[in-house]
Amino acid sequence: MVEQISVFIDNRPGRLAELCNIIGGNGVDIRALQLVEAGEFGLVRMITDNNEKAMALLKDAGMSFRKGEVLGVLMEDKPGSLGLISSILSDASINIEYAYAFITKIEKKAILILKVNDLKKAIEVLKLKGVSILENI
Amino acid sequence: MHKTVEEIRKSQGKLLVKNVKYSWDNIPYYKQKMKEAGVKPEDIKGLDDISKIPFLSKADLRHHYPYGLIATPLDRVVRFHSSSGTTGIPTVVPYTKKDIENWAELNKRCLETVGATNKDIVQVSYGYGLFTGGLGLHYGAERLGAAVIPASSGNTMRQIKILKDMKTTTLACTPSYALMLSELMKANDVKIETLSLKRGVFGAESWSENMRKRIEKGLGLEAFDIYGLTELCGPGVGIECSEHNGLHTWSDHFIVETIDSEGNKTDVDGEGKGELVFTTLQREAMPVLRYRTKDLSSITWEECACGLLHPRIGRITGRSDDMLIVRGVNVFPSQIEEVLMELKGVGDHYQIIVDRDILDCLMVKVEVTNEIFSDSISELITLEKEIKKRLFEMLSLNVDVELVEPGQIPRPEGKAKRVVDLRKDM
Repeated sequence: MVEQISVFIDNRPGRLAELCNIIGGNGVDIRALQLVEAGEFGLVRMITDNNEKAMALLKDAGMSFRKGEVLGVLMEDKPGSLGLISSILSDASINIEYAYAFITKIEKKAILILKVNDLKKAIEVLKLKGVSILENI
Repeated sequence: MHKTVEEIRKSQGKLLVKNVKYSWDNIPYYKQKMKEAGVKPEDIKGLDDISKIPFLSKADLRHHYPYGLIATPLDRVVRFHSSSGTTGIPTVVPYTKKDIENWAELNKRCLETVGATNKDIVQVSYGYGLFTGGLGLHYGAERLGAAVIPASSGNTMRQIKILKDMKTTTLACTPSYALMLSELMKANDVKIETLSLKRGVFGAESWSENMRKRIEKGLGLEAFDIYGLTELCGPGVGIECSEHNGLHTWSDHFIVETIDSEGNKTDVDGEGKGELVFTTLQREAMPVLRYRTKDLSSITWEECACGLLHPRIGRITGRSDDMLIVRGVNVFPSQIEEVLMELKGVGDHYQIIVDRDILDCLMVKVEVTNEIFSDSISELITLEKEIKKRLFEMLSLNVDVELVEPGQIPRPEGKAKRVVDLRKDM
């Protein structure tokens, strides 16, 4: 399981830059990030190398945020990998609420971040199929 | 020969004396209020004694909802109207048969004042129902002998078709709806030459000279302001004449005064500035003594070039309370706050923004605190919809709800400015 911070932001030019400066400008590295928009507002989901510090910085900046747990999966960086993992979950009737993926410094590997409706069961079935679950990224 | 102003004011005084006695005899609450103020009907001998009578407020009407201030037995009441409720309690106004006739007469006079006759075709595009606008103008136009088209509000394309096909000469609706009709005509390439409009009677909202120009140009008519309050009867209390220099209020039906924020009378010999206070002179079912309208304006008995001797009130320049009028609906910021407060974590930081595109629009910005923030977009959208739904239930108005980041609502001197009205310069 991986810790993720979700931040509420207004959907307007420059807001993401300001948010990233709050985090990155204070020496916290954003390892992964997803930006979602819903009309007038947006949501940033991110995983950093120092979540405690990141949250302290967000708190100082007066922003609304929430820490949550998501599933981090290490997968092969090749065609079909994502389909395979999705199938394992769907076979177990687990719903994916959202997901984002990125490649890593490890050669031929990619990381998939998943938010599922049953985290415990997801870990169980993925482990059973030999998929490596990450504790941090 | 016109009666002189002094004669009119003397006869107002006589009607007042009669009305005070009638209210004392028939409405226990009025009697109690007057007793508390140390006034008896005998103390009111003429117009000069009016300041001895205690004020009546909207809160008084609310506390006696729905039948508490009716002066007649219910079997003499033939109609009820009501204004939108504050904190859920509407203001209910009863009418006897004679009240309805008088009301029709006032609206007939208003239509005559703007030049309408029995040869005119009057399209009433105010809402019909509990709201007084539709039926008030309807009865007035019928009494005038004009042909009435009870179009009611809404279905704007059909309204334009009626205007064109039925050769409407006189339009009655809210000023913002008039503007909307003209915008839609422009968008659909309907030329004003194809219409037969001569005049429009627009009220239930405050509007400016700029808006008058836009409406007059867009619909090819002369626009007149009409004033009224549900508490006094509805539309027909005051009307602009062709001088467009204030609204004549019918002196045989109403006494109008002005007061300052402390409630001190500011009008001397009928002239003054401040909050308008009205006393009805002929109402049977619910006479009103010194009703505080909270509308800020001025009054004058100065002779008008049109020849009418009824005193004029100026354009309403504002409100002495924080009530907003949005698309003709009375909205108190406290109503919105009440709705927001019902939802956990929502009501702490919000802002109400009123603007006018064509119609008035009401927007509520709500800061998303940690308490209500969710990682799920669908949950946030559900929250937005829930606030919208609850506001609609409270106000009967569609409100745009926008979730914003904490700190986005300006807090001058640490206190958030709750209401921003951008319509001022419209």
